[in-house]
Amino acid sequence: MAVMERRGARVAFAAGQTCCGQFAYNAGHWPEAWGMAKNLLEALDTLPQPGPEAARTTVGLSGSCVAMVREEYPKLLDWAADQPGWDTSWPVRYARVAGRLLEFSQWLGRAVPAPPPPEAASPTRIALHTGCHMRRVLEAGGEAARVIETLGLTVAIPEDEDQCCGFGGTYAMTEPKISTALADAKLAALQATGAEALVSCDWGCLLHLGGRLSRRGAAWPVLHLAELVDLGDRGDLSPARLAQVGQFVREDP
Amino acid sequence: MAGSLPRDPAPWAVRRDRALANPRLRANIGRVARRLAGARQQAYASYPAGRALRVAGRDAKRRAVAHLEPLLDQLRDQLSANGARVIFAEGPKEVADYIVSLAARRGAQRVVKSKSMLTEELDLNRRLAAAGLTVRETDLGEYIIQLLDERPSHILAPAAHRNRQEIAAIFQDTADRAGVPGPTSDEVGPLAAFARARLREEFLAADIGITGANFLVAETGTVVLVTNEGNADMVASLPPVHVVVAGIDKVLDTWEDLAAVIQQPALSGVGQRLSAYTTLISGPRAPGAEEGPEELHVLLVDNGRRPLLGGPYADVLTCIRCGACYNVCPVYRQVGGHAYGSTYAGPIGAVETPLLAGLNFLPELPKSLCTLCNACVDACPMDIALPDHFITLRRQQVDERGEPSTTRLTYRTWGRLWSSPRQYQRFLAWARRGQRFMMRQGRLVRAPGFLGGWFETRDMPPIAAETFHEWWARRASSPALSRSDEAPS
Repeated sequence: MAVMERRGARVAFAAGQTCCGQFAYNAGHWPEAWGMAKNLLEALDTLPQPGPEAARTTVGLSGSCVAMVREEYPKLLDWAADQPGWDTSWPVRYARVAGRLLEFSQWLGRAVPAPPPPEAASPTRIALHTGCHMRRVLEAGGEAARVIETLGLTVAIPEDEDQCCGFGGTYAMTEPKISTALADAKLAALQATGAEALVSCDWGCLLHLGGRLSRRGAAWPVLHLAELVDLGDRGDLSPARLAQVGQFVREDP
Repeated sequence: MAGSLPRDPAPWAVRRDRALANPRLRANIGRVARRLAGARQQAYASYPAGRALRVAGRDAKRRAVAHLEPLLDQLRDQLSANGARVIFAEGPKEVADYIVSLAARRGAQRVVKSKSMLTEELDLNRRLAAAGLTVRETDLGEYIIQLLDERPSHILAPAAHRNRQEIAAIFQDTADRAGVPGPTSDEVGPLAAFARARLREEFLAADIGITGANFLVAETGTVVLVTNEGNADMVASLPPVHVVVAGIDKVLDTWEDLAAVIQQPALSGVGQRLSAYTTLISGPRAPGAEEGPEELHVLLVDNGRRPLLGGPYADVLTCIRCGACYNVCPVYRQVGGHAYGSTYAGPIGAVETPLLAGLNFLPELPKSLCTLCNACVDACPMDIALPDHFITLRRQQVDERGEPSTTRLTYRTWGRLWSSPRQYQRFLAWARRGQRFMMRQGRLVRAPGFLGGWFETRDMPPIAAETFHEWWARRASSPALSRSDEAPS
């Protein structure tokens, strides 16, 4: 919120939202996914819509959730149209909601003209993990790196960067061994970059990788891009500060 | 009718754990997959025309699958006119019976084969051996795994799970048994030289040659084979009888369609613009000709394919078996092909196997071998909608097979609690009370039911003392707090 307001946005929050339902959709439990999808559409559809059409943007903080709404909801709607209790207003509401939805780094890249990068790039390296749905479904993988560079930081892209971190929603719960093997491979590649911290635009990947680090007793800072940009805005990108904000269990303000 | 595929009797957990506990297998598979995936990317990057061809090839395959029956009739008529015998075969038994009786009629004993995934699917070698025939695989990778009595672990590189040292050992063992000198070293050259010398004798002694088909052109009745080793040419030309065993999904309409798709197996599979050998066969030896087999038999096999025609999964039948999806799949790179438990592995195998053999056949495949990362659909030259198929197969399994009642209850409850703001607040209240019993050092370390899988190897942060929702509500009701800098991080 702070990051968005500093960039001149008036921020509203649809307090009725919970979850996009992707975990249930991916696992084949579509009635449950549809229940959550309806709730999200209802919530986002009630957002105040100030200003001209172009200014009405809904911003999501995880690439995977945004990809779910933008690319998978149409399939869920097609299915729901054959289910009892279908209401023909859903496609209309969906079009309204999805049409103005952007992922956070997409919004940052578009809404704000990028300031010229500082003359001397800081040696602080940030390992960037681009989530699979961000990369392949939204095709919006490039924006985050540009945003980090405008903060004056060095972006480190790990080897095999296009490989999944193993999260996969409930896959992480139903196939913990394979999922963990993937997390360990991903963490090895990320840490081999020698970066100070791990940053991603996907809370799911961060929860998975951070949760694995935590269990291994490793203290490597893990931050969402918004947290990093917030620190950058405050001119406070010291390794100590990254470590503090990037703790697995966030301190309450 | 559902097809019949071979099946590893070991349950999924055993197959998975066996693979994960084998670091050499994982290293070998990972190395091969990464190399092939990289080669594919480079090949397309340096060959822009390949991209347009890919789309044209995909469309040709889709058109053929959409009009399969008339094309198959045309193919049969053309091949018959060319002097071949064409047989439509239902499944493994019909194919094996036909070849066994053919062998009896010809007094044939020795069979050589070039690489064919369909004959793996039909478990043909075992069936022919049971009938007393001697079968020798002649593709280098297939030769290796036949000596090891294994199944292919990769669709293009059947012995991808074995490294040079392991291959040298099995060759030496084979040489010792045959009383001949083994390979002179475990370098690629000597290993290939050893196999070439051994296989040359097999080609010359064989009574029947069996190949698959990469494509079948209906227009002219032509069987198309692509290989990088040239062994298929030997199999198809040296023995007096050539048997082609091909899936009905291999048919294409015209030569123009063939031209559009012919580069794809090599481009997407190994990053070459064309395979080293492209073999076109339209009939047996012509009267008066000096070369080629006396008889050509073409078996067009269904084995569970026809039920997919016209349905939501029909695009699976456009697969050209290039293996591009295997190479990019993170799960495949971890466990390799044997863990999948049947003939086909990787994303296409996890989707196609239950489609061919029935949803109850290896039901773990759609569920346990995919994180839905979408790498496969990006790599697939035929644009097969693999992630969609994973999800709809899972949905069908939930609907038709049912799930353990606790799993179902978990999803129902979870779905209900997160489907309305009021229920979500109840969930938060419960979870806050419950999580106290599941924490260690300020982290969540266990959870009930299948959710507990997470905590075998990973932690979770507890629910925040004040969630964003709660902070927002408090801020809205208290003007003093409306400075966003105090947002919880």
